[in-house]
Amino acid sequence: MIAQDTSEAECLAENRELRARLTEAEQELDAIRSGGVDALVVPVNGDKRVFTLKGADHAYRILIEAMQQGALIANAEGLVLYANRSMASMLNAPLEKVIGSVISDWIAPQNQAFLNELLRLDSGVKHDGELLLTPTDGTQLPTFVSAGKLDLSRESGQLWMVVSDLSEVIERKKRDSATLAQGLVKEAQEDADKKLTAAAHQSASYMRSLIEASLDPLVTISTEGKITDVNEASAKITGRTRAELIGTDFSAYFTDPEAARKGHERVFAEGFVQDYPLSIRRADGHVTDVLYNASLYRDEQGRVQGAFAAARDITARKRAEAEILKLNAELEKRVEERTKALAASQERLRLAAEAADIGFWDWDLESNIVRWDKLMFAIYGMPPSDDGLIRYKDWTSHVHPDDVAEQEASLRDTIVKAGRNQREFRIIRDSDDKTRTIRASDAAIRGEGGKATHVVGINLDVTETFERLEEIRKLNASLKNRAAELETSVKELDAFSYSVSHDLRAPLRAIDGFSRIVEEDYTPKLDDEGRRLIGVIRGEAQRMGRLIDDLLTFSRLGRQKVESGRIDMEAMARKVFEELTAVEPGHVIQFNLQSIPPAFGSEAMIRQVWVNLIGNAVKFTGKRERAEIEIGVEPGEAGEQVYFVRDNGAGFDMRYADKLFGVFQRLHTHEEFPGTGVGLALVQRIVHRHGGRVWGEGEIEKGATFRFTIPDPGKEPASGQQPPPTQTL
Amino acid sequence: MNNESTDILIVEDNQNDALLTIRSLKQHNLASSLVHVTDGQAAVDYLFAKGAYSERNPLNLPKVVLLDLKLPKLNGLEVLSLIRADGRTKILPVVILTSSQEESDLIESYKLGANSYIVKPVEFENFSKAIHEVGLYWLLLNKPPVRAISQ
Repeated sequence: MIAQDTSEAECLAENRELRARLTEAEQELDAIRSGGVDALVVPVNGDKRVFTLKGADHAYRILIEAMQQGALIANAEGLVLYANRSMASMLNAPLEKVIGSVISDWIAPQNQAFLNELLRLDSGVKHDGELLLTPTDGTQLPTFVSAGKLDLSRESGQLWMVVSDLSEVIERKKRDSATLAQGLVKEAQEDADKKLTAAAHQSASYMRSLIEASLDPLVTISTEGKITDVNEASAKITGRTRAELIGTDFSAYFTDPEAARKGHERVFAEGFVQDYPLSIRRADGHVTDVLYNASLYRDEQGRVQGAFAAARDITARKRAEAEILKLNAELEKRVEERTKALAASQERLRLAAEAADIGFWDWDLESNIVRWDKLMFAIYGMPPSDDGLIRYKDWTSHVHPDDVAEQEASLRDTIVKAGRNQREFRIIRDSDDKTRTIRASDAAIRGEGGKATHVVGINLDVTETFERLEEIRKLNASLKNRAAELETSVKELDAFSYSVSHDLRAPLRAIDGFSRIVEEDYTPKLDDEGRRLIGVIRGEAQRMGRLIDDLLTFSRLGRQKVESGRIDMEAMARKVFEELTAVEPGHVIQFNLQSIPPAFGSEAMIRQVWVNLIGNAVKFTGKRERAEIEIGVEPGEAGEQVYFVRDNGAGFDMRYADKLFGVFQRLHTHEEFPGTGVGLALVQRIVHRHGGRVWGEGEIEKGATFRFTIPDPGKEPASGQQPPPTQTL
Repeated sequence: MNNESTDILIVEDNQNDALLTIRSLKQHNLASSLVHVTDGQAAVDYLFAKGAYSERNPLNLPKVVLLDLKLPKLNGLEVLSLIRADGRTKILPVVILTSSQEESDLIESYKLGANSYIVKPVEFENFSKAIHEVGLYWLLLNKPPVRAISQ
């Protein structure tokens, strides 16, 4: 979910950026349309192309275009944004090459410092000086330059220059210098310089030059609509000579002569016409889109002589516009594509959320509008609104009153600091007023300057999960209680057996001891029956003592730790057998001990197992003439080693097999075979504590076989042979 | 001050056990001077000449103390630790004579500095034999440190 969150946020951010760029492009386009922009540098295939825009309708531009002096405007970096035709011709380069070039490329090396000085001028300051230009023909052209910084706010920092060609003046100056005295030369030269510079300035206002120099086709038209004069640009744009044009109807050279005539009529009606769109058709059929500007001109007496008209080629501007429109369309397309991708990603998120019962919300911090998806409404048990909009307080009113403050604080933290938070809170569901537990995650989306503009988040109803967890917690707690209870009862049992060990034996000792005293001190007064009865009392007291000892051993076993080690089972079984039979030399037993593998366990405990099992075998074969005891190993069900002790003794009835291992359970009377009934219970407890099993088989008067397993702790316990849990008495 | 010397201090609440113990000792002529107290506090009072025994000379210590564990007032282990905590009785031989076969009792007794730990057998012959051997060992064979202190 987190990764998807991020991609959605990125999508939104990219979308916003694209829209901002679109707005910027539109503003630019507006500026171009309204003439606020003179030139446009457009990156095309990695190069910069400058489009000069002539839409700005400033009358002075006609003059600038017409004058003999070179004029240019460069930006603060020295990139030529605008140059007039005269400038281009001074540099012996096509106009297109001059515009967009770097101005320093056209300045002789010794004048670069002067150029830099000009570029650094403060706005509004004007500066004059001589400047050597470097036209493309490799010569150096001496000029006089007037330059300054534009101080209009928009073009602030742009450098303007008016450049006058001084080559002719200098030529003349050279000739003069040849005939004048050397001393006078300088003075005259300076004088001439000033005069000629002034003359050069004046020459710029020379009408003919102005007209001829103009890039725009300039025409004077009589009141009847006949062309009275044209400049070179007019000849060029129409593809006809000056002679051909003069005297003809001006409207004939437009694709729409009627529109041209109407424009002309308007000049006479209103005194001028401005940016009247027309198209000029050249002799070869090429059409140039122009804006037609014209005003009346009068003679000295103020009589209207005709119209002075200029047609401005707007092809470049149209091209730039087309370029902008194309870029715009591309941007639009990309925005659309991204919007689609975003919609698809949102749809995917929505589907994922729906599948997981996750509700989505979006909070626009600027408008304070909260939007919920259908699942949000479902989680809160509210009917969905048509547009998914809800008020922030509709949410807070559903949050459990005890949780509201904390949740609002968490949201504030997301917005102001953390940017991301996870929360859990309760809500009161609208549909049934039930309290539900919600898990929520939210993330702030930051706009410019890192200020959060949106918070988006998810809600997930985790009530059931929560309840299940609660149940598990309760179960765990009750288990802990039970464990504690068990521990307590174990402690009580410990105390009990401690008490047994101290208190139960003392009376027995007294019974036995005092019986003995009676025997010793009153022998003459006792007959044989009296002595026999005292013998019975002492025997039973001693048996009771053994019972208590066995019981305490059995009880202690549950509390003892099993300290595992390798046990030589064969040697142990042999030694136990020898010890047990040594006290009864009259009882002859055929002992068959097979080779048996070692086991891992507590030596003392396992020894007790052998003592009890072999001891039983010895005891129950006591009445056999040919007593046989066999000890060996056979493979068990799960492939484990099964140790067995088999005898041909008294055996037992299999109906009571389940009682064999119970404490104090006996299948024989004490008279038949003495015993406390604890031995096998002890065996079972030891085997279980080692994770093994023990079981017995027998038949009355045919013998018994006891089997047990001691699993190797290094191996996996055999499947299906779950050892019973360790018991504590 | 009472300067009567004592060989054995028997601390035993069970009168029957005490009787059997004393009888066994007498049979072997080992009970010429013994004192029997029935609770832990009395044992401590006797040894340190306090309370009912304030007239006694505290420097006159028995050759051995036969101490049961399960006792009224102060139990055997508490008595033992008080004995070992006092410089006068620090090295007094103490034999634990108890019914308890609990490993915890055994270990705790030795930790507190018991000199011996004897489990009272239920069978009278064995019990009598054990008492005889204990008496023989501590009163006749063992060279006690107590006299050396008191002298």
